[in-house]
Amino acid sequence: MTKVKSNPESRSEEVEGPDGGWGWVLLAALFVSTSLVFGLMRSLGVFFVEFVQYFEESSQAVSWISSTGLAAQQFFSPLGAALCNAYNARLVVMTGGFLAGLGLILASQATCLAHLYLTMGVISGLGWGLVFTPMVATVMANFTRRRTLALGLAFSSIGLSSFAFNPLFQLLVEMYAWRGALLILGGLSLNIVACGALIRPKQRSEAPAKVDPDSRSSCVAQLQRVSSYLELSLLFERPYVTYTLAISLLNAGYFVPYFHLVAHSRQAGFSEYQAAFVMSAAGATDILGRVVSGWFADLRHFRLIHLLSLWTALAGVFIMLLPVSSLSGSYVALVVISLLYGFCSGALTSLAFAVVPLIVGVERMMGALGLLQLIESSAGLLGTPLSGLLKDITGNYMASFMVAGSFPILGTLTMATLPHYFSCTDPPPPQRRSLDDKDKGLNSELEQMNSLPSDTSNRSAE
Amino acid sequence: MHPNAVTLALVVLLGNLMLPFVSAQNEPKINASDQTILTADTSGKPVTLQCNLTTAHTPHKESFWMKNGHEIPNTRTEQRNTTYRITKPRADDSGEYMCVYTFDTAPNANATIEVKAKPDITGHKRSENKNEGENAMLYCKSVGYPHPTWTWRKVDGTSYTDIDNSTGRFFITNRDNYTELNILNLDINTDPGKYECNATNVIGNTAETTILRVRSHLAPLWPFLGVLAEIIILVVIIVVYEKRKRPDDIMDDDEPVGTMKTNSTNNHKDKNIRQRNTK
Repeated sequence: MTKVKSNPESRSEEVEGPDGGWGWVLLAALFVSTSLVFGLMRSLGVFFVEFVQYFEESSQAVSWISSTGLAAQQFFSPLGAALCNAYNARLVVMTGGFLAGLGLILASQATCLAHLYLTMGVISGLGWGLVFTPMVATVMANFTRRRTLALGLAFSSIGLSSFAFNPLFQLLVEMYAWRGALLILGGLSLNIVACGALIRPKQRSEAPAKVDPDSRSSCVAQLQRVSSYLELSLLFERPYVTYTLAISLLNAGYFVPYFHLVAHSRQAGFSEYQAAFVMSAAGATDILGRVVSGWFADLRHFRLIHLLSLWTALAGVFIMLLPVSSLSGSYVALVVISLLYGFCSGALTSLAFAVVPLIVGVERMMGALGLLQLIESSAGLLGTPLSGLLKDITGNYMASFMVAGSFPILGTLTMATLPHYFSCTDPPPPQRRSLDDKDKGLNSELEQMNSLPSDTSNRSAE
Repeated sequence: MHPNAVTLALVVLLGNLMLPFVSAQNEPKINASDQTILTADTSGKPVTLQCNLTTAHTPHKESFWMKNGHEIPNTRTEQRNTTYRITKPRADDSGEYMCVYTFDTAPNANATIEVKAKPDITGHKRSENKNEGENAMLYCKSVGYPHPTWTWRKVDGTSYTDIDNSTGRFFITNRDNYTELNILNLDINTDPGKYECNATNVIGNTAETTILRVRSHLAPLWPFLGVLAEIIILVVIIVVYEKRKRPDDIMDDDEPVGTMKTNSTNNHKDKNIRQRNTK
């Protein structure tokens, strides 16, 4: 019977969950939409040069555009997750894609910098926020055994698309001027709508179904519904809070090399090309690390959380080693450490999201991811200015890299305080709520059965 | 007349006549090398400019070289015979060279040596992309002496046409080693193409081309509409494909209570049928 089928699923995801099939199509959609969100964000440098020239503003004022966009994307992530919980993911992603494209199209008509903040920053950022978390959660829900590999493959798109988009955007700007190029980019971003259309509307038997039928219209019930969509109750659960704190600490140090490595290499005495090559090398191993780590994690030799701790700790160590290696003046040492750092930082990105459903369960994953993005981004915002401040105070990058490297290591230590950390097998993901759901469902079905005007053979068929 | 007055007048007259000769005797003489012309075949061979102070009534203090009115550093020496060596002469090295001798009690003496070369265009834009209606600025910078005269032409494959300024939108400004062609209010039909700046002096001429492209306001619309069309087609295909597969999906999913009821009654019927048919 169809009702019985739900029980094996709740007993062990490892065995019965979906894996592949339509999931690969969704993975391709995630690949495309991630590259159109983050790959695009990272390649906007070409436009900034044009903006500085056209609007005659400082490059710092222009760089606020991408900061606003990134901040909006992360700020609206919980909103995207909540809307998915309330409605369905397909609608949310298609709306997000439309907003992202709309923001860029409107930006092509901008006449002052404030317009760009509003369109490219807020509107597109809102769109990106509505796209990323839902798509990631949907793909993660469609894979169980190969989840980490899928994530690794999908996130490798960020690095690959940054490589491809930079020359492409340069060509577009040359051929069509920045207004025309933004218009075309807006059109390209609308491809996310097509990606969202690939999401099959699935029933969701998760927390929001727990709407109390009695007090449906009261204010308190509305708030309860909203908070259940946002999965705010997660903020009171120790494992989730611990994990979020660990990832936030990681985030504080994670971005520092991306901002300061080139400047540090120049300061250590290497030429512009050598410094730029160090960055590119780190970027290349980043892509490799994402895919390899995803594949390796799915071999199930180790627990995901242990692998994540390993990569995070290594990344922290290599960040700390970066200034030390250039102290000796050896270019080879700097390149080697950067390659290793790039690999570790890519490796941990694949795992960081994959661990979440193991802590909160697949049903609450959407909201959990949204909240995680919001909280970790605030830590990221603090980390980079801190490293800049340290550099201004001490005059070189040694202190900034040391402090930045210590953050991931602190994150690893925080992760070690997760419950069941030192056991060799994964604890069962929290099923309390879903079991309640299924129980309620079973009970109400039985009641419905009883109320049917049918003969007793119906009941015996149960 | 007094015989003394006549003598005095003669002495003064002779003195005046002889004065130029005497001062000529006092002026320092410099023997300088001839003007040099730098050509493409001599580009590797070093060029030496020489100045020799042959006669001077007062000892000179020192000598140095100047190029185009500016002193060349590290050329001050106390020798009478001074040389300036240009190891790898380029067009850049051409100009008006002067060796200058300074004296304690007399004004400086100098000799000029001209080093001439064909002009070499060092700066120009390879291409310029502007929107319709905007202003374009094409320029060429050169090095070389003597300073060239500039001309601008439009190039069509192999044929050259002079710039047609009937519309009054073309403005050319020429300075010694720099020329600028300004085109106002670009016209997308007539203005795009290759423009050549030509620098000519006594020794020879060089030219460089710049490609001017004019972007139409509507140009980006076509790719944009193309992308929009692609997206709409994709979405339609996806939705239609899914609608055609939809009926199969409903049977597999866990549906909420309402539909469950239908399934169970179906199952019930099936079970009955199965029981009757007795597998």
